[in-house]
Amino acid sequence: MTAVTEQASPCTMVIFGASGDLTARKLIPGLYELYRRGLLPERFAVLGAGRTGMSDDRFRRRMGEELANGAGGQPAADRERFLGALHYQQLDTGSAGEYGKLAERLRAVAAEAGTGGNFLYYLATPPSLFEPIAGGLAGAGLAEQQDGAWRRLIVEKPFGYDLESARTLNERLHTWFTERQIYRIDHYLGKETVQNVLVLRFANEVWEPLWNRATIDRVEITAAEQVGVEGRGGYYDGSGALRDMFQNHLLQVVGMIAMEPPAHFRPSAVRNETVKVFDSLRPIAPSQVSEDVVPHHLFGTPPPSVTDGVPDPAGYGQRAVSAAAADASKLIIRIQPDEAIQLCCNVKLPGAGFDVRQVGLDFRYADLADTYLPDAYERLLLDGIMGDATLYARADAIESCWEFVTPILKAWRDHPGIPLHGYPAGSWGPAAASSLFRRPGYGWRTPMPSLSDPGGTVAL
Amino acid sequence: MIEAAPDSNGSTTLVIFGASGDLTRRKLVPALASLHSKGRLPLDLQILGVARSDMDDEQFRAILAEWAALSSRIHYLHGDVTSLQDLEAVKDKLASIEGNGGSHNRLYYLSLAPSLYRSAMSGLGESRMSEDFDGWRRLVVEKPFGTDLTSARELNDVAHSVFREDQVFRIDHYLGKETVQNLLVFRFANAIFEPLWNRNYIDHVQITVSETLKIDERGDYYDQTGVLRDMFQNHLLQLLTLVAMEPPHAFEAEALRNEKVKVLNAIRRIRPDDVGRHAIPGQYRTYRDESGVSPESDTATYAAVRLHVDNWRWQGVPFYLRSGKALRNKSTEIIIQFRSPPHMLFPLADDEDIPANTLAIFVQPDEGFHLEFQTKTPEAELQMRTAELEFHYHEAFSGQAIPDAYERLLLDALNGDASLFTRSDEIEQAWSIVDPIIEGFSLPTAPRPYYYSEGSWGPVEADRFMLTDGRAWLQAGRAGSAMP
Repeated sequence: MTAVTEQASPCTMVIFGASGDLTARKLIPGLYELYRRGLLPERFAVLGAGRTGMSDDRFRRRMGEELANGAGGQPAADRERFLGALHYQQLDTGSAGEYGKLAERLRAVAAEAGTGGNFLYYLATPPSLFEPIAGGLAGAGLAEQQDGAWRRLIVEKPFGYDLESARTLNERLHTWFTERQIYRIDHYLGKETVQNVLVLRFANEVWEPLWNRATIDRVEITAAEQVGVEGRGGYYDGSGALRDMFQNHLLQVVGMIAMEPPAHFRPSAVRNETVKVFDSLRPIAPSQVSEDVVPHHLFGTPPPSVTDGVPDPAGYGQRAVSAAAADASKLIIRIQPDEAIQLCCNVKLPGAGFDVRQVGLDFRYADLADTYLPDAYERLLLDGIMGDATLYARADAIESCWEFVTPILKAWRDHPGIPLHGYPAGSWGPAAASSLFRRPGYGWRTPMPSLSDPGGTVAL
Repeated sequence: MIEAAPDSNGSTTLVIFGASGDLTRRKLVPALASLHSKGRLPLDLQILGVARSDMDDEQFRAILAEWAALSSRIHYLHGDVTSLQDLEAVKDKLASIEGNGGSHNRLYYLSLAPSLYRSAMSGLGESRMSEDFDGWRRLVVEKPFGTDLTSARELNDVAHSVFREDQVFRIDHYLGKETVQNLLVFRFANAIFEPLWNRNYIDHVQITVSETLKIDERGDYYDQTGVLRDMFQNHLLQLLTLVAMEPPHAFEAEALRNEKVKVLNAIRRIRPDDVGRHAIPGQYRTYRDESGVSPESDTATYAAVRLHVDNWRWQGVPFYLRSGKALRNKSTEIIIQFRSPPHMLFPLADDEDIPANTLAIFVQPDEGFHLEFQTKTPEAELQMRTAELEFHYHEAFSGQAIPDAYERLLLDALNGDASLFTRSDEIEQAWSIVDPIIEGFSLPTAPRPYYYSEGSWGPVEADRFMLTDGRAWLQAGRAGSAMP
């Protein structure tokens, strides 16, 4: 993560797939916020590239509309200056021959903006275009770093769809770019609350001594979405959640929770520690898959319930000395919504006796005065520009995560007898999921929309 | 906690000696009324007030008319507890209240000037009112229990000549406070704090009882007493023992009090001739002008004391205690300051120290807990700030009034649970810690009390005292440490 004191070097960012959703909803707004906070380099430009034909003007206007719809109140003049830095080049990204044209346009834009030879390529395209684009750039001489200029490649997810495809993609990319040039996005790592796991653990004295098997009974990580599969049925078959959320976001969060303290805060040190976690994950043998992993699929219409992503390390407490049985303490790190940290511990119920009840010691981001929680992409874009890869996934990490997940996918594919559990929309998933705990009465904690609501447990 | 079933055949009588005084009206009866409304009073409970005011049942009930629900249980006898003859009259009155049949339990409450304790206790002994032949007999004694170790021992000797120790309930009303009891629950009903609760993770502990009031009309009493007797010997040391004690093997009175006494035993005694290195006395500027106070009085209305607990758990961890009158806030806080993380991974500004975590326990007002820790500032760059994990009773248990300490204590005394009362050895140990400090302050070589302005946080020498140790007084509830 970038410290305040460094200054971003001038660069031009090329966004492939710029006519798509991600650019309009996340990338341009993210850049704009960085611009407003003075975090963009003094000299900066964006060149959008895509199959759709568009003039610079039209691109600027479209992005301008998006910005106007977003966080309101910015003076229009401010926006205009920012939009002036945006350009667009129509390009058939799948065709190697087109890249000469791109190189020319890119150099022209860079020269005009005075950004020199630093280029940041962002692949906001379907995964099938990752290789053609990377190859095309290399072919046009745009991949090699020379004369002190840097070239970086930011790749969106999904990075491969299983171990073999991920390995192949890495191999291919490595023919054109070095590993140090490649930045694989897992936008969960860009979230404030996820980064805060590192600060929470390593800038405080009180947690680390407890952060081990002696005090911790189990960790639960929950990312629940309200939104149904909707138009993405093809992408989201039975193994959809495993690929979409597990292989990347959830495992990355596991990495942060389980890692050893790095010696210092440089990307290599941090990523070494998270890879160690992935490498240590006990593989689930094919024969065990039906017991250790519970796949489920949604049926019915999307519910009006709440979106929630909550990693949840739970602590297990000894039995209390007092008369009433005490619940185990919990440390809850809420990533979204109602970003917060909550320590649940037992206190005495007011009144006679020494009855205990569990309450939460809360810290809510919402309570911080004039708090602005940056979008994950803001964070990640800044790090990409600064060349800080801490929050990006490294090749070995990606492959290690796929190595863990792929056998599960394979088992499901090869053994249709493994039940696919249905669950109604609006519920907490299939009851069978509680069987993972293998202890009577134990179950998943149900995160509630607001942290004040302790929710319940889904137990068998 | 024992909850005795009401004895439907017999009676339970609370006999308050000195009932015309303040305590009965302000604390005892309201507490009983509250217990009554919650259905927690023994069904057969009667209250007999005994005092030197010339009154009868009706007049006494009239004074307590606000608590009408108890009216029918309230009785009065004009009498002097130091007179054996009057005690006989008390017995007669009791007989008429108690009726026949079943067991007759009595709780004697000494709401008297401390100078009367001895004769009251002896009197109860001589009139055979302490013998538990037809029900239990218990004695509740308010503070102060003695004025030094010698007098406390004498008082205990008198008490033990008349009562068994298990019949004697010495009040430190702080122990009746929810948050104080909660300290034990917090420590022992959660797995997460005990591993940290020792010298390996804790840098020091601060305990502050600050008052805004001056001594008002109590000059005579206070000038003889001073802050060390008034607050340190009891409340502050009690809080210290609860923070420092080992877990008891069971949650019952003897086990609990044994552990507390162990802590008191382990506290390193200060030598009187050395007191200046370990304690700072203070006096608010206009103290000597108060009525009843000698114009050359050297009585301390403020003190800051550093104590050490010499045992495996706490070796090298100072406990800083301070208390005073006429200070800026009225509050009681315990702050546990942890050590800094051993290795800081994140960038700090050049002049920044690694901020340490603190656990603050607000005993009053606004009862609750804060755990201060470092969190990432929501920003694109990496910056840290201090944040607090907070819990406050009034928010969590809103709509439920926190019971007054006396409710808890009276109920426990009626139930015979001595967990929240001070045992004879506890009292004597506490005196033996405080006596040498008082003695030290009175030596000609000792520092004279340092003046401080009303509404300040005490004398500046107390701040220097901390600074020499490389620490500062903390005021909980504010992010980061701040010298108030």
